[in-house]
Amino acid sequence: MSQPFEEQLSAFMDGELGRDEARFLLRRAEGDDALAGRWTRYHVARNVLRRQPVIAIRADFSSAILARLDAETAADAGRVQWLRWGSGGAIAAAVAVAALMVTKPATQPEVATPIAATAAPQRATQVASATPAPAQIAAAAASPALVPNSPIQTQAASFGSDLSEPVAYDPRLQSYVIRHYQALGTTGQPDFVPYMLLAQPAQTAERPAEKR
Amino acid sequence: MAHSSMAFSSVALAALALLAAPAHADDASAQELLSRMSTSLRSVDYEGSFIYQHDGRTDALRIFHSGGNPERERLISLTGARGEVVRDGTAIVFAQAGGVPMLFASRADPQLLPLVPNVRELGEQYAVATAGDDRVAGYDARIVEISPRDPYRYGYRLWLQKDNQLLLRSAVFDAAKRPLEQFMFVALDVGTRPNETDLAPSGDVAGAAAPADEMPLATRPAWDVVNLPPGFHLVRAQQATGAVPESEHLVYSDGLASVSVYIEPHPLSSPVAVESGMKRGVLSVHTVDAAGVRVTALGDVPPATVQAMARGVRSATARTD
Repeated sequence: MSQPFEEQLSAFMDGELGRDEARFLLRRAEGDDALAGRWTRYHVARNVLRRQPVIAIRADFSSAILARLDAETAADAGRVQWLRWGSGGAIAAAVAVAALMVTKPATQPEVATPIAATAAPQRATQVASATPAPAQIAAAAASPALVPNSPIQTQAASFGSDLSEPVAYDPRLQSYVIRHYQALGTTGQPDFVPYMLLAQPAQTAERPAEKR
Repeated sequence: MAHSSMAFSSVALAALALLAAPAHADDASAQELLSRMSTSLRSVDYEGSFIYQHDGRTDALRIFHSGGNPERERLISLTGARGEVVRDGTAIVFAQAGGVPMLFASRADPQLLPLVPNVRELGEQYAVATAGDDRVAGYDARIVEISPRDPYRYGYRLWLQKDNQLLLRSAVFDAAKRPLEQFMFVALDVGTRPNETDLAPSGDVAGAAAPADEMPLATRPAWDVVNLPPGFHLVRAQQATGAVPESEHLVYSDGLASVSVYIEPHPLSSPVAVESGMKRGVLSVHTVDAAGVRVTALGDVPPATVQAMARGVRSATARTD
């Protein structure tokens, strides 16, 4: 593989490759095992460096992304310009969604039970500054009483009925879960990380945050 | 009168002692069974198939275990996506069909069977007792219950093989005794050493990727959690390599259940406080995002526990001022 292709691959992963260039790259990847392998290694390396979970990518990932790009192109034709993502961003998003979708197991749809943000805690809701500082959250947060078994409204949310539907994943949360169980290994507690990955491959989803 | 009163007190005390004795003996017996369970899980050779019920679904898996040092085992999914986990001592490789293998280097006590409680330091927050006999996968079993004394943690019901205390079945339940998750062997062969081919990865794992490690904090944590649920205390403070200052990962434990609290300052904060929660099987997650700091608490505990801990994060500096 020539150097320009490596650069293109890197730019593609960062969402900085133009739509037409991306199509060309993906078309080539469809019939080039070496390029597909390089993509996989880049993907793993980048996610490890960013402390994001390493997600399995199936061999025909390029076809899936191309299909999504084609679909987005058709949909974009009828939309106003300001609603579109930049081409690079759209490609990056398509890559991410395709990568996440392939991890969905071939079983019935998963159902999560998100907890509604209940009983608004006694906290200041307006934040004066976005500058991170421990003192700020300390000042903003009061000390809510602990109320175990307080009524919690639950609401089922389907992750989607088939592989064609995007799934609401949160790589940050997934990373938290992995780091949590790894930390338990260091405190003498059982380490369930690999088992969880096996039993629930990249299934972690989080309900969109609620604003108060 | 005084004599009679003293005599009555002595009788009452003796009666109380008699009543209490069986309970203590039962607890001691249960603790002993749990201790033997831990040993058996590491030393006994076995292979078998089990079902795992969680999140409204049922998975079937097969496990091969070779006891001793190094301990080796291999776990294979029999339903859903093809996948396997192979452990050789402290090195664990997770591989899924068509995916990139992941390598984990666990520092201590990795265990591939799910829902196995760490019974080395059960504190006052739990009651332990035997709860009768049963039969699982053709083996006679003794049931041991680890019950939480409050709603801030979950309990376990364990079925241990009578001969060697091998764990045959495990169920996690909440304070109201409602079952949340469970696994159960349906076929088990004890005492037969698995073949080398059964313990080796089925595919090439030479290119396995390893997630980056976290490092213990070199200084006192910048954050603290106030109003901790009873029994929980800080057991570890870590920071991701390259993380922004004041970004911390604090681990709290009551000896059995553990909760991670992630505190991450970030510049793109919402102008209003945002709070959300999620529950998945026994895993609960609660996030509070306010004042440029995102706090996420998660662990295999009830939602009320992670909620209380996420809301209880304070600046350690502010507390000592």
